[in-house]
Amino acid sequence: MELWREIFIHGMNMFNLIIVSYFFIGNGVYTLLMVLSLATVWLYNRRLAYQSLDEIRESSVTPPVTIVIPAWNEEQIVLETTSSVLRTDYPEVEVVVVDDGSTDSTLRRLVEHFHLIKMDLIYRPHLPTKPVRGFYMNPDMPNLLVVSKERGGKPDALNAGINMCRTPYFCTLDADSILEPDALLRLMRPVIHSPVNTVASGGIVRVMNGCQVRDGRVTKVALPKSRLERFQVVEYLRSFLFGRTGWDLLGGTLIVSGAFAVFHRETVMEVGGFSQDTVTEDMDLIVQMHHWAVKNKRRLKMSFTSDPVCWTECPATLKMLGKQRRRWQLGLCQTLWKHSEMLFNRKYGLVGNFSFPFHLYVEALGAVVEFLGYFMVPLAIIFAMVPARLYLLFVLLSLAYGGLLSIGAVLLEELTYRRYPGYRDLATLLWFAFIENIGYRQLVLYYRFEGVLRFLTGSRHWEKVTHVGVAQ
Amino acid sequence: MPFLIEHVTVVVFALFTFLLLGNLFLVGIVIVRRKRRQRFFERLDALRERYGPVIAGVLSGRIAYEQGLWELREIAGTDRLFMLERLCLENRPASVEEPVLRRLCEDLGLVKTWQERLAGQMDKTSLRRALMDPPGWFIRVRFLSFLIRSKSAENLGLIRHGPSWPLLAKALEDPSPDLQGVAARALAAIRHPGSFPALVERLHKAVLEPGLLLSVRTLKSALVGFPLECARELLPSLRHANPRIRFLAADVVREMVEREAAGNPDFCLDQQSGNEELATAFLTKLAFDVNPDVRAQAAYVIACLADPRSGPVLLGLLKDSVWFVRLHAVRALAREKFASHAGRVETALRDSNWRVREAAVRALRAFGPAGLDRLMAHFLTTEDRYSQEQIADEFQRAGLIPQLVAQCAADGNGQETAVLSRLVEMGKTSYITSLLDLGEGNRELRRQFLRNLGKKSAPQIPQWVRPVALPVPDSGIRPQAPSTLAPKHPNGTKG
Amino acid sequence: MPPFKNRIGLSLLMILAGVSLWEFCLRPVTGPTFAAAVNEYRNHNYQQSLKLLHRAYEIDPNNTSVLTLMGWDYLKTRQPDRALQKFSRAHRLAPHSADTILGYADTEITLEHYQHATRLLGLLGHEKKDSADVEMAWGALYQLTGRDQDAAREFERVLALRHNDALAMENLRQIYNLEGSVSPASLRRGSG
Repeated sequence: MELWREIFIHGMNMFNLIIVSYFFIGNGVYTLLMVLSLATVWLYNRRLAYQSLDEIRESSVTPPVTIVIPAWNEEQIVLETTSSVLRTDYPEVEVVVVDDGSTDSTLRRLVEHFHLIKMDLIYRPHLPTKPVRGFYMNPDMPNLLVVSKERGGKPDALNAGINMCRTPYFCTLDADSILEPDALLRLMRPVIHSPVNTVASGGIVRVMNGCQVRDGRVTKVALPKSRLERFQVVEYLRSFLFGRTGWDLLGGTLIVSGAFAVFHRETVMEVGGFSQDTVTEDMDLIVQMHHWAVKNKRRLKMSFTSDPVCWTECPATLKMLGKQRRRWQLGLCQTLWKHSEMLFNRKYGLVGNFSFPFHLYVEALGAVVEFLGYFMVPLAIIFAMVPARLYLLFVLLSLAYGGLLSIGAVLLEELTYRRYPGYRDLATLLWFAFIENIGYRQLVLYYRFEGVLRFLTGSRHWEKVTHVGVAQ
Repeated sequence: MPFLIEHVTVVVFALFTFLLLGNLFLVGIVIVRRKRRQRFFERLDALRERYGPVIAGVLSGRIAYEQGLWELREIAGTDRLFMLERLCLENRPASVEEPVLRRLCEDLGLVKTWQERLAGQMDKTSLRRALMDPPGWFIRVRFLSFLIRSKSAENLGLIRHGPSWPLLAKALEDPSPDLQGVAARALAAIRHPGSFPALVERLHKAVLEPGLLLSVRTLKSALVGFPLECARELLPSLRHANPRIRFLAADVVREMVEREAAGNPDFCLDQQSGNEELATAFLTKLAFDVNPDVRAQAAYVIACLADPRSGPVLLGLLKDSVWFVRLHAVRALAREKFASHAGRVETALRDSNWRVREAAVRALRAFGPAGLDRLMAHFLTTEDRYSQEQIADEFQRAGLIPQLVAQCAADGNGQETAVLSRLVEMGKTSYITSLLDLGEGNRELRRQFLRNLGKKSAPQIPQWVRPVALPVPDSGIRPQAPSTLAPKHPNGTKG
Repeated sequence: MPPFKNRIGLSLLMILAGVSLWEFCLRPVTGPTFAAAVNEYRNHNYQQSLKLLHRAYEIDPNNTSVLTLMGWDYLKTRQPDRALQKFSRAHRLAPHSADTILGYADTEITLEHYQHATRLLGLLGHEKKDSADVEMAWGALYQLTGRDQDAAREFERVLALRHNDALAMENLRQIYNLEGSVSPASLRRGSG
């Protein structure tokens, strides 16, 4: 009995050491990202004052872009997305919608609405995909092509789109997302102005729930009604304005959201396109590009800018939220595991020695540590190993710190883009930023923990998040 | 020093209090910021409402200049210049309004301020002023001054203030990459010939000194904005030892020439005075450059020359060893004036690279009906499968199938019928089938089509006639389908 | 790929190994030093005990057992002020520790802070009624506050629990002005 007690005490001590380290390291890095991001985003926003889009819009040097939209059973929204994309403000844009074996009327709606005709075009599968069933075009609208293929999953659909892409850059866009008119111009700006080959450029994804959408445009920005969605608004602000910006500044970008990003086609083809190995093919591609750059001794740049905006629908129910977060966590673990050779590998510079370890230990494994901590630490109190008062203070401290990060994100939004003009909306955002860490964070943590468990048990199932059209 | 638990508790409690106060502080900033912005926009809106029509009136000539100027001078306050800047430059002026806008900005003192700021002559502002005046902070904090200098450079470019070009040219050397980029764009907007060499020199540096933070694309974009007359300044670059510089220079000239040619189909570079040397450089040197990128760019320029040597040189590029040179050569030939070279372009239909084949197809189409005839003839006679595929692709993408189908229906023995037969043999039937789909409007078309195509003995024809014709309720067409589907004697007659 | 061949797996193993190394080998522990100090205390080597406890204190200054024993050592070496510091801190950290409360109370009695001593002893309540040390403390408190009868009762209880407790006997002799050993009979004669 005494032996078991000893083992238990030692085990608790070890876990406490891990959790304290996780707390300080994780929050330390978040603090760093926050500080860097505050300065960067603010400064970038100031720089926008003299970075007119007219020059990009009118210049003959601006490269053409193909927007690839993979779609599976998106009959509710695919027309709106496609229409909005066709009206995008960019000098030369082509659109490829890939119908990935939809069982609903996605394809039929596209064909009817745009008067498309089935054609037997040449298909050059530089990237292997499932068989293509047909191509649909309207000769009077030569910049729109719809590809119908057998179901192969999102990466497969994207690869099919890339195979049909004839421009040096392509932009991935989720079928349930809506671009702002000048989003592509803004997204291409860092590509055009960079002295180094920019192979990936990501923009910000915002929550469309609660907004008014008309003719494929967000006409009025508003907060959603439900608490769950409001929390996600704050979360998206924090993760994009802080996380992505901070990593971009440090040069440690590991994630560019596939919902809205531009890639250099040739580079993507050289790395083999989007892989089916993981459920987060966007992150996998970015990491794969890092590999490729190191292996071929090339200098690449990946950028994130906070002004190009893509609106997307976030999960409105707990069930859907759970599916989404499990998938993200599962994909994160899969990607990190797949590319584990980058961990603390000097060849990969800051990405391998800072960004990768952070995503592994804090983002991926941190979910496990934090989740278990909610059970282990109370046990430690019961066994008088940790003073209850001190523990309570630490909990309050972490809540306050989490609130600081979230409120900081709202502040950053206020300093820069101010998409939510009403005072009421601002007050709501601040309130939800404050209480995000009481309940919502723990819920998401549970889903993330489930995601890690799925990874450990070898699950590869893509959980589809169905959309209900929550914009007004 | 022992780490006492009371200290830890105090520290944690202090941290918690600090963070809580920090949160409240941030919330306070957010609210204060919102209120300030609201006041700012209210003021701006009020000024816009009051003076916006004045500015518009002055620019359009409806309001007398002096009167408008006098009214605008009424605007007061520490942010006077900032507000004037916003009001004057909010809308992009039409070209006829530009001279008036320039004069207005000069008389209001804006140009002087922008020039001073661009040159870095800014008095260090007081803290109070910095808090009240929007750009105050950027003047006060030195490393942020590039923001205000860049904005000043942009403003000078927006109004195309010619006399400011030396300042902007100097700004190309500024340590701030933002200012370099803005200065390049402003110079492109102003288009003063005197600034062109500075941009060219900067382009050289961008290539030769890879550490520079200004992108080549930005410089290129700036250079192509200049009139063609400036292209002569690129001659030394076209002869430079560095192949990338030669390529970029050739690319810039190409863009300029294409811009001119777009507006004037008969444009010829060598017929413009002063461009003879440039034309000769392209014809005799660049078309044979060791760098394939240079040769590729040269093709377009050579296509815009009246010199009799241009034709053979261009055709020579069609046989270049590098595919993208051939590609650009074919694209350069895609003009009606080169219709006489259709035979040579046709050879590109058999190129090993699909992009060249595709470009050749488009080039032949660009030659008009004669080019299309040649294309169809090639399609029918060639054994090259890739060439056939490429042409079939283009027929579909370009929407030529309806024309072919209509022609086949009208004249069953024409080239169009043969093309359609070949398309059917290749399995490219989807488009045709869609056209002949159920629908009253296509009734006659279907009838004629079945009659004409039904004569063909290719085995694939019944395969798609069946789904098209048999379900048709039209009593006039239905009987035709079985006869089309009936087995044929080897000599081609039905029996 | 097997986990142990993978960098992630290896790094996790290394982290686990590192934490284990710290926990089992490197982390300074007070256990042995404290045990030795207890030994010295029991052998009445209070200075030596203090020396050892100072070392333990450096390792873990928040250990209430260490603080309490230091208090006892200071009390035994007639340094009640220092003892008070230790006991009061230990009591703040572990308010329910009986040993600490007792030492704290004894120190307060020594320093003639009788009210506080009464409150402290009151915390021990009924649970410690059968503790000779607690009874002794109560006895001392009553005696010093002039409540001899109550004091005598407590000392008798001490003797009931610890028959040959010299201090209890001595205190009873003082109360009853008796010579020699104290027995129930002599107590009745004395009280009579």
